Formats: sequence, structure tokens, C-alpha cells
Amino acid sequence: MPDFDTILYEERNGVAWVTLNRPDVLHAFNVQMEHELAAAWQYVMRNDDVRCAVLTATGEKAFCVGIDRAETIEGEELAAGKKPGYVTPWWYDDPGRRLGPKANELWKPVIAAVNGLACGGAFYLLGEVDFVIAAEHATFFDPHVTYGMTAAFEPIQLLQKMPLQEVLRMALLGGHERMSAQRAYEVGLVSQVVPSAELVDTATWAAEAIASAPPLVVQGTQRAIWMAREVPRSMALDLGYLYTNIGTEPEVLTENQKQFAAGRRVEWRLR
Amino acid sequence: MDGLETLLYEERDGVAIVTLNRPDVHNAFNEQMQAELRRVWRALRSNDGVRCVVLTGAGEKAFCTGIDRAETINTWLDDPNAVPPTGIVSSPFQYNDAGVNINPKENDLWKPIVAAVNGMACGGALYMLGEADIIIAAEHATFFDPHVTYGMVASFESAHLLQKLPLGETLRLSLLGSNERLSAQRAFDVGLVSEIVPAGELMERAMWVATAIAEAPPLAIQGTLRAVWNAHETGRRQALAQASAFVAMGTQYDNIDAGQQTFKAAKRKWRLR
Repeated sequence: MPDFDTILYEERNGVAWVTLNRPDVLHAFNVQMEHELAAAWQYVMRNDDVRCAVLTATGEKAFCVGIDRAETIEGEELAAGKKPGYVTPWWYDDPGRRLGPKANELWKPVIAAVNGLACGGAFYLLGEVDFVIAAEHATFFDPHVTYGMTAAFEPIQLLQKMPLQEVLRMALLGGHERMSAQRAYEVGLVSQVVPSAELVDTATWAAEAIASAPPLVVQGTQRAIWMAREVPRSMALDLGYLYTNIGTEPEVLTENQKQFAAGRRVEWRLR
Repeated sequence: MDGLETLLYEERDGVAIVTLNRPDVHNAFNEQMQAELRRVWRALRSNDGVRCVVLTGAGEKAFCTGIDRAETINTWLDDPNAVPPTGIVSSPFQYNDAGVNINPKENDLWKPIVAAVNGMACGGALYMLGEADIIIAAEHATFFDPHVTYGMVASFESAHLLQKLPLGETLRLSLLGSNERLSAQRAFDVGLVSEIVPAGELMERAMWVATAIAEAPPLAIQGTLRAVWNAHETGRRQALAQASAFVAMGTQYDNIDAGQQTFKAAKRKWRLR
């Protein structure tokens, strides 16, 4: 396992827990954290013991507040007419290349447990997880425009989870308005809101439930859904045959069908 | 903006307030209103004093009820040789659609539009709501599309609605015609509307939103607006690949510097929604 300074990493019952751990700066990511997250996702990908991951942060105040400005926004560079991060106008080293599970080609489910404030670059992470559970006091906003920056990557990530108008409202209002966990739940960004004290238990339940299913069918299902979002309906349905084929292992299927035939059911809950 | 007869126009704190003003016909748009809307949207592109737009209707009864049938359908029906101002011109492939005139984005205006829906919005009103960026509705506002009930195909309206509503909601609204109206509450629940307020507070709330947007550096706002609509029409991977170009175009010393001063200044007042 790689060594980490800015995140905590732990495995329990087939689930990897990736916890952002820079509470003194509300879990803003510096370059080190970007690289450590990339290493963690790649480690999870290669580790067959892990079938699902949970992404959260320490404390109750913040989940993540985006990029660590102290390190990245260089006033002198700007004043000299240079754009931070751009080598040429067409060559931009965006943190999004390293931060998220999908950018690192990890195709095992990742659940976010949002334990507080989530803003700006936090949406790189929330856009690439598969579903989001939030504490009641969590809030969501994107201050880019207020601070003179175009918000492009963040609302694009949010468009994968929220209706167009909610994305536009959040991106255009910048620091002036925060979205409550309740509204985030209503419009689909968040799939469940729980009291803060129940956040870890709820995420544990969901992650372990996913980890209990055969991994190849979980991964096939996950890839099929993300694929279908990017292609027209008719093409997605055509490709559906391929995903079903690749995800079907006769032995696993036989074993699980036996359970079904024997009347054995998992304990389920209603949401 | 002089010489407008079907619209009221006012500029306040960097915000243009455009009011559809034919309340006796529920703010339906006739040819003149179409021409005036086109003129306003085109003019606002080069008006640097305006950074955000509020679009609303006069009165409390209706926001807009679409095309003015009295003018357009009747002239066409009465004279089989007349060229309809909106509709088929010479063949099914030569078609004059009102959207070319009334829609801000079709007129290439990329400044945010906040729609304040002050009452009924139906039929062609959905063109403008489909191209608005943020929609705020009065509690009594309703939304519907009567096309099929009156023997017309609803295609432009439903295409606009699909940008804001889930497929099932779009189909139900379009197929039920005049038989059912969508309440402001249901519109809020499914994402067509981002906020509902009592009628008396509608303009105050819309102006709060528009002014907050107008205060931000305009290049950052316009870059964000373009990036979101672009991403809405492309796949996730393609949109992310194009995102750095939007960030590069939206990054200039003046606006970043102004923004960073804001960051260093006192804590901002924000509200929770």
C-alpha cells in the first residue's frame, strides 16, 4: 500500500475508505493530495479484495473546498500575463486529471459520504463518484465566478447528477447562494440525507451491500450506465448486449441463481 | 432602448428588465413583439452595461401564452395564398419558426437570463423558458402546452422542455395538452423551476439573483454559461476535454484580480436555498 500524508486509507469488509485529511484548510487539495488520491484510486483498482470504496473527510465541518489557493493561484504569474496551469492556451494541466476515480479509470463503485461543506473543486470528486450520501448540515456551492474565474469543469461534473437549471443557478450565483442538503436531495445530486452521526453507518451499509454482489456484474452494470449517459439511446441499447455478455460468468450465475431458486433473499430496506 | 411598443425595457444595476407587455392577450407574442424581442436580444450582446437579464410578463395573470393566434393562424386560414409570418413558407422544408425571433440564445445572446414567471406559461412561452438559465415562479404560476388539443404537433416546445424536465414529465405535459396543467410546486420538484415565491416577492427575488450575477466579473459569468450549455449537448468525456478551453478564454488578469480582491475582502453574505 502506498504511503499517504494528506489522506487516510483503510480497508474493511471489502470496502476501501478514502478519507481526506487536511482539516485545518477544510480539506482543500494541494498538489500532494492530488497525487495521493490518484495513487489511492489506482491501488483500489488493482486490489481484488476491494469491491467498493467510500470517499469522505475527517471532522464535521467540511468535505472539501476545492483547490488550495495558497499553493496554486499565483498573483505574480497572473500579473505577468500568464494563466496559472497553462503551458500554452491548449495545454492545461488540470487537477481533474488526478483527483477523481473515473479520471484514474477506476471502475469499482465509489460512494461519497459528504460530512459538511462541499464547494468548488469538490465537484470534481462528487461528479465522478457513483452516488452521494450527505449529512443534514452539508451545503454545496461553487464560488468560481465570484472570484473572477470561469467555472467549467465543476458544472460539467455536476451536469452528470443534476438538472440543467440547478447547475446553471449554482454556477452563476457563485458565493451568493448555497444549496442545502435537502434541495440537493430533491434534485438528485444526493441520494440520501441522514443525521451527521449516522453518516458513516449509512455509507458502510451501502458499500458493504454492493461489495457483497459478484464484482464483475457490479462493474459491468456501473460501466454500462456511465456509457449510456454519453451515447444516444439506440446505441446504448445495442452496446447493452456486449456489457451483459462480458459481465456474465456461468459459474457465478449458476451459484447466485441457486440462491434465488431456494427462496433466499437478502435483507432489504426501503428508501 | 427606444421605440418598443409591446415590451417594457429598463436597466437597473447592470440588469436589463424585459417585460412582455400585452396583458390584454395574456402577453401572447404577435409579429411586432417577435421583432422587438429579436431587436432587444441582439442589442444586449454589445451593451456592456448589461450583465444579466430578467424576463417577465406584465400583470399577475400570465407570463406568456405563446404565439398570438388572432394574428397568425387566422390570416393564414382566411387567405390560402398568403405567406404565413410563422409556419410553412413554400414546402414542408421551408419553415419560419418564431424561435428565431423570440429566443435569446438563438439570437446568440450569452448573458444569463433569469425568467420571473408571474402566472400562466403555455405553448410558445416554453421556447423562452427553455432558453432561460434560471427560472423563478410565483406560487400561482402554471405550465402547460395545448398544442395537441388544438390539432398541432408540439415539437419545438417539447424539445425546449427536454432541456429542463425529465423525459416522462415532458411526454406527459406534451401529450395531455390542455387537459392538465403543471403546478409551480411540481415544476419545482422536477427541476423546471429553481425557486417558488409569493407573487408579491417575485421581482424582488429575481432582481436579487440577477444583481448577484451582475456583480461577478462578466467574462467569468459568460464563460461559465457557455461551458454549461456546451456540456449539456455533448458527452461527459468530450465536455471535460473542452473545459480547459473555456477556462483559458475566461481567464484574464483583470477579472481574476478583481475576484481575488473579493476573496480577500470581508466575508460574503450568502443565503441558503
